[in-house]
Amino acid sequence: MGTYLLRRLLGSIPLMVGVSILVFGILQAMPGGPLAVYLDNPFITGKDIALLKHQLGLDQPVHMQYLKWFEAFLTGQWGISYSSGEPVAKLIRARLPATVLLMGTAFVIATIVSVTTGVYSAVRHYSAFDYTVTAFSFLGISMPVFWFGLMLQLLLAVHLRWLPVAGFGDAANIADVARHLIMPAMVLSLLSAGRWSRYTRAGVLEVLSQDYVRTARAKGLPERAVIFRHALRTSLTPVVTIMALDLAGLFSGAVVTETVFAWPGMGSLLIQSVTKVDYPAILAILMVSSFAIVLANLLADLAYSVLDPRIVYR
Amino acid sequence: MSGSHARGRWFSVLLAVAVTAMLVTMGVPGVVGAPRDDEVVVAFDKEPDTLNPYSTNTLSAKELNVVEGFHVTNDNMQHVPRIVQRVPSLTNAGLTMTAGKMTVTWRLKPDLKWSDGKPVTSADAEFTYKTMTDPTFRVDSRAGWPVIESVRTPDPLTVVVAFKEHYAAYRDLFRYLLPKHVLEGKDLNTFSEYNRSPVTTAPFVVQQWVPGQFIVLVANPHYRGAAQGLPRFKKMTWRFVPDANTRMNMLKAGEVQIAWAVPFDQIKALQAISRLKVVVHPLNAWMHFDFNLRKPMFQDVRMRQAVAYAIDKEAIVSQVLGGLGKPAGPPMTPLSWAYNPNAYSQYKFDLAKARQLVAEAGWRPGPDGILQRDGRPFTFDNCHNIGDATQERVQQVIQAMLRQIGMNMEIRNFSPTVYGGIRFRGECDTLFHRWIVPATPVLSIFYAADATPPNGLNQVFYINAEITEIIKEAEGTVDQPKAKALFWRAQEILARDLPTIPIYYLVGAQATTARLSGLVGNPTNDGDGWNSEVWKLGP
Amino acid sequence: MKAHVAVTITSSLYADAWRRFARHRLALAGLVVVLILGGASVAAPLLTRFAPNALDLGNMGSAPSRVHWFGTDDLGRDEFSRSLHAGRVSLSIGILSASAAALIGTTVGAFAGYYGGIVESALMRLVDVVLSVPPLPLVIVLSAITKPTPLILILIIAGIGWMGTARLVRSSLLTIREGEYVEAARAMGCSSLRIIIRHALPNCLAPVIVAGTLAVGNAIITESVLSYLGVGVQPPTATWGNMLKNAQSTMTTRPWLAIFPGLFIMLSLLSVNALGDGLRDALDVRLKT
Repeated sequence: MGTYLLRRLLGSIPLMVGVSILVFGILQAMPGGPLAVYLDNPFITGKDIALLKHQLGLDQPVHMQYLKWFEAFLTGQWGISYSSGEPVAKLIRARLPATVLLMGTAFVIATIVSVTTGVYSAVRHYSAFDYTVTAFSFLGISMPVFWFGLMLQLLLAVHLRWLPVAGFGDAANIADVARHLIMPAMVLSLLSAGRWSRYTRAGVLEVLSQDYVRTARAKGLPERAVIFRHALRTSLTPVVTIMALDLAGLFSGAVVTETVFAWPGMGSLLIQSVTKVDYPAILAILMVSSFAIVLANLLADLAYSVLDPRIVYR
Repeated sequence: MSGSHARGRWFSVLLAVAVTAMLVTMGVPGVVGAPRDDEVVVAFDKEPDTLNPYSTNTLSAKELNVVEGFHVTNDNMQHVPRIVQRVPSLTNAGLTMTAGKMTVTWRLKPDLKWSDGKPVTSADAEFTYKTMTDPTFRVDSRAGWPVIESVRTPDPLTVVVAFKEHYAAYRDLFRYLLPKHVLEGKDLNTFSEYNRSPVTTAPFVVQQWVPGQFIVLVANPHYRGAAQGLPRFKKMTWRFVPDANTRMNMLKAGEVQIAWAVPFDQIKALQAISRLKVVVHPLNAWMHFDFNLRKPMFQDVRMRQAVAYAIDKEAIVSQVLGGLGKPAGPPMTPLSWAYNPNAYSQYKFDLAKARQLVAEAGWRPGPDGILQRDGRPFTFDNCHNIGDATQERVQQVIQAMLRQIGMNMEIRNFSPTVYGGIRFRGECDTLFHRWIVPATPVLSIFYAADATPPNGLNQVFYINAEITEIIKEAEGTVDQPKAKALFWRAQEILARDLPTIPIYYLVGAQATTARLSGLVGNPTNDGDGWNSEVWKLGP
Repeated sequence: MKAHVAVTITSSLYADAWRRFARHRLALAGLVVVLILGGASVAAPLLTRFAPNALDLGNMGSAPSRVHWFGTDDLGRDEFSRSLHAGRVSLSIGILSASAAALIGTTVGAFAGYYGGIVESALMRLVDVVLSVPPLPLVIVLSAITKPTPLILILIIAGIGWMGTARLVRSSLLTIREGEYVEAARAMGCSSLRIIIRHALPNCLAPVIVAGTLAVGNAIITESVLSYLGVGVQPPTATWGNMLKNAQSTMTTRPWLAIFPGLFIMLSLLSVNALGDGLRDALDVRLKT
């Protein structure tokens, strides 16, 4: 298994190179190029734009630009933001913790909620509880995130005044940050909780009908031990894969959630950068989030092999 | 079934723990209490990219009131002095004119200090001029600076600027002063220390800027108005909240005292809440329907006139805008001294006249009501940029109004990143657009023959030698009555040739707590925060 | 002879599948709702009294009444008519992008699975690369740099949704490739394309259909998020997404403008998801719930 993981790790490198080419290529297709924002401005002459192009290295052939950018990127020089003149790495470092906090909390909430409801509804399947959970998970999958966020904001923050409307809170005061975190984390976890609950339920149901579970029951083990010790591990393997695959979805949900709740993370930074056509920032954000997804998939594979002893790696 | 009972119990324990945790965190007091009366929190719509006022292309940097210069234009569009003693003009000998050239003399107020304690001198003005003409400094606009021939500083308080020609917009120069002792020798494009926290003479200085979250401003310790107790607020926190609804929710919940950039359709609802108020003020801006005169559809002036008669501006303002706006005449607002109230007054809403005009031009309604000539339908597109719901609504109303006379308008809206290039290349038949302009009247960038993109904003591609000469002369005439006559004539020509039909003059709105006084707004791009030093919270 | 037998087996397999499907009450309900929504959207001009873009400036933002069943929006347009006509756009964007994604994915997966070797490696690497980029951020960047016509939207949404199908098709073709009847078919002189289409693909039809159905829901939500961010279908054409966006700022004063499009989105998603679930149970004997 060690060699398998090593091979996977090495395989991630060409993967990231491929992502960098894809992302860089897409931005090159932008009509007007990276200096499009200046087109609106009559006071910037053609000479100014030519000088700007030269300063930013944009007058070189595309593949040269790519190579220069990629090389610098690997050494941690993620460029200077076109709009603010600040190093992009600094911008992202400032925003990354907020996104990690939000996504991490949402992940934990979604995991707890989905595993407990999924297991319980599988054990008591076709009961009233099961139907309720199914209904709620469907609801979770089907509700537009921004709509849910706005409604929650209206109810909890404006009408009931239980929670603050938006923002990060006082960074020095953990309780304050926690209060600001509750709503966006709940909203972000909604979609994932719905999906994972159904997968957990399906996985547990399938495993519960397997031979070795029936054997355990026949041996006279209490139901709780049957579930926790024997069934849970294997039934969770498909769920773990889904969780890793869903990381991409969490990033997507985070973009909208951060906008609605003014959460200062990478999602709102992306929106800002797209509006200002800040090439270096857009590139860096896409690269960082893709790297996180690749990493998550690797970790999921690792977890998969640990959880399911039946998996054998070639 | 003890197993499932145990499961059930375990589950409810977990639930109880979660609920308790929630209650505990909610109970702990956070920063959501009401701040003191000399502090204020603003929910702001856009995070500035840089606070260097010359290199930013967003308005937000200027609205914070952390940078200033010689003058500012106030809420009545008058230039008022900031760090100079008076605004130079022909009547106070600050301005001398010779044949073809002019010289402006500014005198700085005495004993002015920068926020780091160093004195403000005329050397800073000379430095600002050198910087603005340095091609390696990426600026948003160099307008006017190349017209300067030289800047002399005979003494530390006097700045003498010689111009190569008569330049009427001289008062818009030196709008912001750059500190020489801080910036000399630095690359202004990347000098973060200044760009994030400028050394300034303005009432506020940056204390802390947390990217993505907020900027905290505190009173400038060396502010010249400190003796009068200015600024009244000792601390201003500008929080970045891009979603408009979230900003309004924060204001309603009491988390902020000012919510910037109110969506129009919420103004009435907010005004109905007694502890809030909405400050509505006219803007030196207008929405207009532009014709691309390079494209075939509207070459015939009668078709353009038909559009002018078919759009019911009164109905748009009263019904779609709820009265928040003013039906427009010429492309200049009533706030400007050069405004000609007679221009465009001939185009009253008259469907019959519109129909008559299109018939004269040879277009007849087809079976589906759309005009036809030689079997071709009268279909054209209208482009606009995405982002403002109210403007998009007006665009759709115009579409319906034009449909009444048989014109088939197709709406094509684009994101701001793409829209600039599209207008530039003249890809659309017509545009629905907004201009906001400074106090000094200007028409040349929009309608002069040499101002077509990329050299200017003449996106109507209107080439007319007569008006170009009149406008250039008007903008070069410092004597106001003379200039006014020229501007009036220019507006009449525009009404005759109809390259553009202004629809309505815009208003701006800010929502605040009813306890706030002093926020009056500003019609120009000097921003509504221009006088934040006099804002205060009452009882 | 062989073909005749195959047909009989297939038809009874479908009958089997239908019986399994029909046992699922939720899936049946989903199917019914989908048909109702689809039918109402298609028949929208017949069912509505007002044109969806007909303005009525004197009657803006009125509450639901006997004349206007769902009320009127901010320009006096009939909300009921707009909801149904919006269904046409939203549902067709959903179905078309899901179909396009299925088509692209099947083609890519088929080529990868059948030819194997370097073709397979290259194509699967491509799938991995695109899967590694978070979809919504990618879509946002793409929409900001293109013109927002429905066609471009469909292509963009399809562009982030084909990868799962590609993997499905390729793995199902992997097993076939080892099989003997491919050898036999080739011996009989069938071209590769024919082999792929007539023998290999029908096997993975089931999971592709299921994935495609669920993808419709995903596409509808993506369209609504893009509209919320302002880069979806432009006015005056109504879609459920941009109706929600316009209703946002008056949620407290005119809640019905936000409730109805939101409800339609949720209903279509719920029914599509239920339908997909039911199809998965019915068609794929290996995946049980």
